[in-house]
Amino acid sequence: MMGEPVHRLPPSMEDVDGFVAYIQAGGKVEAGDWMPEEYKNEVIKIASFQAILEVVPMPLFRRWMYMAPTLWRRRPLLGKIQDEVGHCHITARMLEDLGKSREELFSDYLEGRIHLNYPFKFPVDSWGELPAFLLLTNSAAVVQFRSLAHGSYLPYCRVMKKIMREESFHFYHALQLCHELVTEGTPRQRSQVQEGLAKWWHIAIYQFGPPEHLTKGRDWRKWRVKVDENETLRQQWISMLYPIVRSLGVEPDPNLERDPDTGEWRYSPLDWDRFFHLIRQRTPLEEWYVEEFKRSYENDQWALKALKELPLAA
Amino acid sequence: MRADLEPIVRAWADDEIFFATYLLGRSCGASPDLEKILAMASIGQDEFGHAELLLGLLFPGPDVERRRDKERYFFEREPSDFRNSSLLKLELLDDWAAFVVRAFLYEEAESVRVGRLSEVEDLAGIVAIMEREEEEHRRYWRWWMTSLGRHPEARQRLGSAIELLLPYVTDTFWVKDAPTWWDPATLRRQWAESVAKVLAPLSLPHADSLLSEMASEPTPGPDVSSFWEFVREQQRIYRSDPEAITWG
Amino acid sequence: MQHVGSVRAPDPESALEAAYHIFLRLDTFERLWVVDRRFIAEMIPDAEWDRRRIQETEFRRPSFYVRKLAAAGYTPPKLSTG
Repeated sequence: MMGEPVHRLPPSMEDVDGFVAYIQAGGKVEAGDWMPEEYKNEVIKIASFQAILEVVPMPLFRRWMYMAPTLWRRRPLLGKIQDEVGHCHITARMLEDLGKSREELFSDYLEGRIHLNYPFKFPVDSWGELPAFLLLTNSAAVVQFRSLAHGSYLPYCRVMKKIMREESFHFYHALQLCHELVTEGTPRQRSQVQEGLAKWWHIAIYQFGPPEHLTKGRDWRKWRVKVDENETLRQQWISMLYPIVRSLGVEPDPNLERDPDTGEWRYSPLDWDRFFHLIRQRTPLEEWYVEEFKRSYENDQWALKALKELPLAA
Repeated sequence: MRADLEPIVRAWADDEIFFATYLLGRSCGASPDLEKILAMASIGQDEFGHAELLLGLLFPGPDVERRRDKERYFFEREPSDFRNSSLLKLELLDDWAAFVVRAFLYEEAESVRVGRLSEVEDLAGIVAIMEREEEEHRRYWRWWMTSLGRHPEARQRLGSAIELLLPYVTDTFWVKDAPTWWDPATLRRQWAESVAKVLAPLSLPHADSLLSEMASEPTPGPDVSSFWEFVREQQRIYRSDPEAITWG
Repeated sequence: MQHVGSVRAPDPESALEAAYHIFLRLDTFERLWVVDRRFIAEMIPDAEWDRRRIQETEFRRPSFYVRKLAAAGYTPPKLSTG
């Protein structure tokens, strides 16, 4: 924080129009600055979605941590588990500073007001598929966070930068495990990874959300908490992952090609109807997540209550 | 490493691996107390590191071969061949009170074990590392016990947890094929004394029975069929094709 | 964040005013926080010990996996996180 240029909202702009003009001119907002309610809600909405995603799929990682076929591979999964919960924690702390408690955050998920991002609705069926899932969804998260780190709300930018350091470890671990199984594994393991990459390419590509013309409502450009279009991020991800996936022996999409003039990737049509249909439903995997989440959340309530009710130490 | 230390180190390594696994497994449960989850995850990783140090004593040698031997040792043993104490055969994912009491009891036992083995030259280096981290862990779980123990409802839950765990403290410090100098009876008394210092001011239900059981001669713990299933589940992928393991 | 000193004051607002005037002469700052000393809990870690612990978790660093990939003849992409 020290040494960074400070963009402070001038008091004269503490009205909605002034605020919008300030943001549009590249102004940044610091914790404690005046902000319109709509702006605060925008930050809360984006950060809540991300915070929930860090912690809800933990039962999946627990399962794979238990079943990792070597202690050697269990170890980075232990680290990943801690990192992901840590990501939820620093985001939840930021949300608390904005007036949203973590209890409200978790209730939002349990009561269906926050939905899991699309890729996390699908199961991972084998050890070979796991690194493919991790590589593609984790890299998509890196692309998204990298963009959010340039948004207008400085506390969230700082959260994103901290998170990305650890996401980098997750990405390289997944890539190295994919490579190891493809090059040193049995034919069955190799095909698990390669089939996994083909499967998860067609799921993770939806992680960025629908193109602009299919979204409605929120005018994210006004507030610049989010600064890039979904399609822009999808294109960045394809540029990053396509060479990697090919190097692992997979051609993920026969229609994938780059326009030589614009540099834009063209790919097989995505089924946004199915996306919208599924996004608001709970798949069987999600029902399991909700059950696990509810159980451990409710199991902990008595201890939290007890700690709150204890007198402050003198 | 001296041959007579091997049974002790085997039991210890098994204790640490499973404690680490339970801690990280518990960290995957949702809770508003994210701080607690992160602390557990940190402690769990320390414990896993300790297990690796101990396995390194059992399987010294060039790196890749050593790694393979360690992995085979974990994944090819029958569940009945694991030597962890009964306290560490319970996952306890859904019972925070029991998880806290078990962690507290185990860390106090660790302190006694580390204290005893710090006198053994072959283990001094590793013990010095573990001792430092175990001190931090012990402080953490003591905090949980003393905090919850001050609350009327929470202390009842701790009491129920103590009652639940009573049958599982009977074999702590018992080591199969242990050398004659390994004195579980004395270690158990020391363990009971150390735990008593924390429990006495709290006056928790069943604490007296627990301390009495802890201070007595070790006896075999109960069969825990869920532990056998837990081990099998962890070994499933490895055992489905041991030749398929890649070593990176 | 850096501790620059302490003041005696009856309430947080007075403490802020006093701190602002007293410490501004020493250096500029972007934010100024005052905390009642009663609510400060302290721990003094062992930096040397913590450094050793961090060094032993090389498996949590991207470079660990990048080196393995390089040893296997694969040049991974540089992941831009900025």
